[in-house]
Amino acid sequence: MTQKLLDITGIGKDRLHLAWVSSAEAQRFVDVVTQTTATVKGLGKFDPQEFASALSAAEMTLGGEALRWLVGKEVKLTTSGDVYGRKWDTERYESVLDAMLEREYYKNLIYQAVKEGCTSVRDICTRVGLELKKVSYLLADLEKTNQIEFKCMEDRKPVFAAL
Amino acid sequence: MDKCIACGLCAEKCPKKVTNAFDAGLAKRKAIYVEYEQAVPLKYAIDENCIYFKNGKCKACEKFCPTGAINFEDQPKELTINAGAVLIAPGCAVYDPGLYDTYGYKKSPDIVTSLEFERILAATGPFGGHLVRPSDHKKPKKVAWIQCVGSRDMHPGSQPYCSGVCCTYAIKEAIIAKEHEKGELDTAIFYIDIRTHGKDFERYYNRAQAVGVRFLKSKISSILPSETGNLRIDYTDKAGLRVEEEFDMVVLSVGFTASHKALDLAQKLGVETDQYQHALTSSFNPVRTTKPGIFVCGTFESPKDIPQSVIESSASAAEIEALLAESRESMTLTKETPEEIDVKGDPPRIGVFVCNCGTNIGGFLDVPDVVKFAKTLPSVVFVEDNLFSCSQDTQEQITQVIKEQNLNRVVVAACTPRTHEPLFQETVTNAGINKYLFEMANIRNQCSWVHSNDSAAATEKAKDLVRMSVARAGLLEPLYDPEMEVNQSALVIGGGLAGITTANNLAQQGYVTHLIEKSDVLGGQALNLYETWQGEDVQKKLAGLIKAAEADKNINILTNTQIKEVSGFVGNFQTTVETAGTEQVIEHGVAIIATGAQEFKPDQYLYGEDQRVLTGLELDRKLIDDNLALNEIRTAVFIQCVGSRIEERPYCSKVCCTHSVKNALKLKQLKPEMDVFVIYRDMRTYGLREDLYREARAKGVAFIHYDFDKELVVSKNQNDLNVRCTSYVLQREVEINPDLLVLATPIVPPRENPVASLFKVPLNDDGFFVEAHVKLQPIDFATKGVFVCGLAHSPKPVDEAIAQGLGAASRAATILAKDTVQISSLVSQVDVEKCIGCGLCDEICAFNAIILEDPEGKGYKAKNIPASCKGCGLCAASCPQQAIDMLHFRDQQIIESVCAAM
Amino acid sequence: MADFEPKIVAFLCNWCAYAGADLAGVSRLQYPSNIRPIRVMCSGRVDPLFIVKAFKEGCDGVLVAG
Repeated sequence: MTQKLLDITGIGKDRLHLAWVSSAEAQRFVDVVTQTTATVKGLGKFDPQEFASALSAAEMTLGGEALRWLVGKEVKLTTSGDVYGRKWDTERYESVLDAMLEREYYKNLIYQAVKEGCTSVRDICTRVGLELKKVSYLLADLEKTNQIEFKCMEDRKPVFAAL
Repeated sequence: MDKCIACGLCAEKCPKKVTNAFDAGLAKRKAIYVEYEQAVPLKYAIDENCIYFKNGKCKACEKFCPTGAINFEDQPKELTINAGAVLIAPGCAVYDPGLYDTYGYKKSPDIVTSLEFERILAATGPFGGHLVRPSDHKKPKKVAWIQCVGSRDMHPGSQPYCSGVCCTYAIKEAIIAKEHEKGELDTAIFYIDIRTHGKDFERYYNRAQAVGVRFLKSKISSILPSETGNLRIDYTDKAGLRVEEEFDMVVLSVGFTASHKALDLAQKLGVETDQYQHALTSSFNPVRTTKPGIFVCGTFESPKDIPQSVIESSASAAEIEALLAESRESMTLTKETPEEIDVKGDPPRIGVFVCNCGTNIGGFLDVPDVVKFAKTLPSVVFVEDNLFSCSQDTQEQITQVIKEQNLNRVVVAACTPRTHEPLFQETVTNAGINKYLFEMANIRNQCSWVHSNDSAAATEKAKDLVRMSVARAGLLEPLYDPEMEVNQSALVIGGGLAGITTANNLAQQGYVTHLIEKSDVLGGQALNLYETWQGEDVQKKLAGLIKAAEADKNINILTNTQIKEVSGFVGNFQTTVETAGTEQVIEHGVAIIATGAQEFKPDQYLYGEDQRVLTGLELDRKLIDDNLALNEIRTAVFIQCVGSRIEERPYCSKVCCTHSVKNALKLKQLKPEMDVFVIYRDMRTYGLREDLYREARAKGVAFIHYDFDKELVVSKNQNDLNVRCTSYVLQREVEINPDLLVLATPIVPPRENPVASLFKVPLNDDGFFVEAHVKLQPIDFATKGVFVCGLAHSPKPVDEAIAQGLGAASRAATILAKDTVQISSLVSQVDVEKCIGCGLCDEICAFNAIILEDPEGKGYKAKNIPASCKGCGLCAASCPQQAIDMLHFRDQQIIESVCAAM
Repeated sequence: MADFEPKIVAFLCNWCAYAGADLAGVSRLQYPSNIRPIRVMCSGRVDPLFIVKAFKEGCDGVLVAG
């Protein structure tokens, strides 16, 4: 999941490696470390400044309630079913998770953008690279959760502020 | 030995090369060595090949040893120990196929034993884990396994019994070899019967077939080198036809054989042995030798696998605990520790000790530079380097420095906390510092040793590791391992053979034991058994055990009783039980699940329609009752695996083959002229039970290996029963008209077992309980304080059920013997202010260690149960409110390390 | 680029990968020195937030091994 998010942020999932190594598998540990190092080396230096708002948005996403809920419920949803007794297959679960990951991330990215001074919808669109409709939709969402507010109209354009 | 730090310099310098027995002779080691990497204690030893011992010159190891740990003068010492009981576990030897060399083992390097093959597959083995054949180091394309080498064989040197483990290990080796070569390997196992009778082993056999391991029922004529440099196996197949096939490599699945050392020991102790030189025991006392006070476990008792050996080790501990109950804790010493200094609120004063570990760290990275660097770190007030931080004198010196410098946090940069943290924790405790205010930086195992060719990079990494540890150390808090009182009584659920055994033993150890049974009598399935495979009268012995339980005032027997509710945790369970409509709460410290299983009643082969068709236990009942009608029978047929080893019920019930063979022999004894047939798929008379199988064949019982893929039909022709199947050997259909048909049906667990959900312990797909570890913890659950034994765990015969019943008692006693349980401090902590009582943590915790509580009626809050918590931290990483943190591994402590890494 | 030595934070489970890493040391196996191991009691402890934090601090890669 975190790997997926890294892909969405543009950091790339290859900067995060996950592996299972047992206590007796010294050679496997060496292989994993060697390979991880080689991959990361190939990706070059990571500049946290460049991804500052992306990282902050990722942090908000992963720390957010909604996502943590969905992840925590994975086993229950896929083995014993949801509150309606419907059992989810892995594919369905993954697609719901992906959708939520993306929505939450962009919401948080917009929030970051507003916080950093992009107050008009157009500014936000350029900054986060999303189409107008999507941004408006997510802005409405953010308003609902009291993260941003509509401040005033300026040059007949709405201006938003982070709360 | 205390001085050796296992740096390995001695072995590096030792000029004498010796064949490495641990690598099954496939590689070399030095005359000074450790047997294998994970040896405990990890200390080097010199063997008789040492040049100095032979010529009086060399001593290279002594010259290079950085700690002066070499002592050439060491002599064997004779010790006198006064003991109330003796347990012997001398094991057995492995058959040497070179002795009579029927298979040409000595002639071709590519014929190896299964143990040699294990080493070839091992990453630490002679070929670095690459599957190559010894002769030319080329990858083999085809590997064959030959089963029963030295077992089930009447030839001189071999053993007539079955070793019981080789089928499963050969399957394991074939699967691993196949996985290793990513499927590009042909594997074939040549066998007589595949005996995968252990728990879940049949599934493993099925899996092997699914991944393409070939199984060939055969008799081997010869294995000879072919013109192409390979090995040609000549064999007769199951239809009796002669076949040849070439392989690149042949593995001999060697079995167990008698150990002379073990026999010597037994003779010295006056312990009697059987004709195969195993310690004599009986089914009802499986770990008692013939000499009172001397107990036995493992393969010296009879051939067996790891889980059974581990079960027996616990069983013998239980016997000894009961025998020596009176003198329990009479020799215990208490350790004194100085009073702890309160450091709360004081700013951190960190001391850093950097270990050179002789040359193990100092030789590869710049320790003075690391020391210099450490001095610059915030809150660090003292830094020094030691030659060996772990040596006795340095330990004392560190204690002194802590006092002099008023240190309140200590970091040791040395080897790994996995081996040395407890030692240093003791050191700081001796200086009055809480042991959780100590931190290690692993600059040896994970730095100097693994980056030995780049000193600069290793030094840089070591500095970072020290900085990370110091950063973390500054945030450490003192913690106190809580102690909980233990209710020193046990609840045994199920009054069958295993449950009664557990209760009797615990009572003998002095613990109050509640034995609850669902039905109105004790005894369980054993009430239906006639004789054990060794010929003991089950009813007589069982009656004796029940009588003992009833007479013991430590045992509270509750029949007609069921469990309604369970709460609590290790040391403090409260279980509500209902006896004939009345409920009561039993408080107990541990629970032993012995809920059993029963014989499957089939719905095929005219069972229930014709009185002449019985199950195995129904025949036992007739034998117990001395039913004279049995003498009238002319022809008896046993059909094996009725309802077993099929898709719906894929497991093997382990006991049925021996049971049928035993009863076939009994019928022959009652009436020698009776025709007795056993129709089977694989005859699984494992271990010493093979003797019965041989005896049965000698006495004229006819065994028909039938084609499972073709039909087996039981029908009624007028009044005659008719059994029809296809024999492999005869390659044709066989018809028998028996007047007794015995169906060997599986052992099945109850369809619904409320005990599993009440104690929140898992069941497998077949309905048997899942132990904490199949090999090493066959009686425990992952949940502390709950244990399993008997048929509830898996199908097993009387002797194994008793051994496991005893084992459960000894596992339970590890908790009951103490007044309190010490609980780890490394558990989760819920911030009740942040917690909204959503219950996600309760749901995801695998150990049942978080519950929801509403003590004040202000809404539910999560609460950690330290006694159950394993400190994994999943709850903390998942909490939607981020309301959970882990003690000693707090978010902030980890994040601080992360920041310091940069 | 050839001289670039990344820093990689590695979260290692005490019972599995950390033990495996110790054994690699005992066996004197060699591997790149770029990783900075952090011992945790279980890889389940690794909150994704730790990973983001590592990137924020400027580490070039993260390894989680259980």
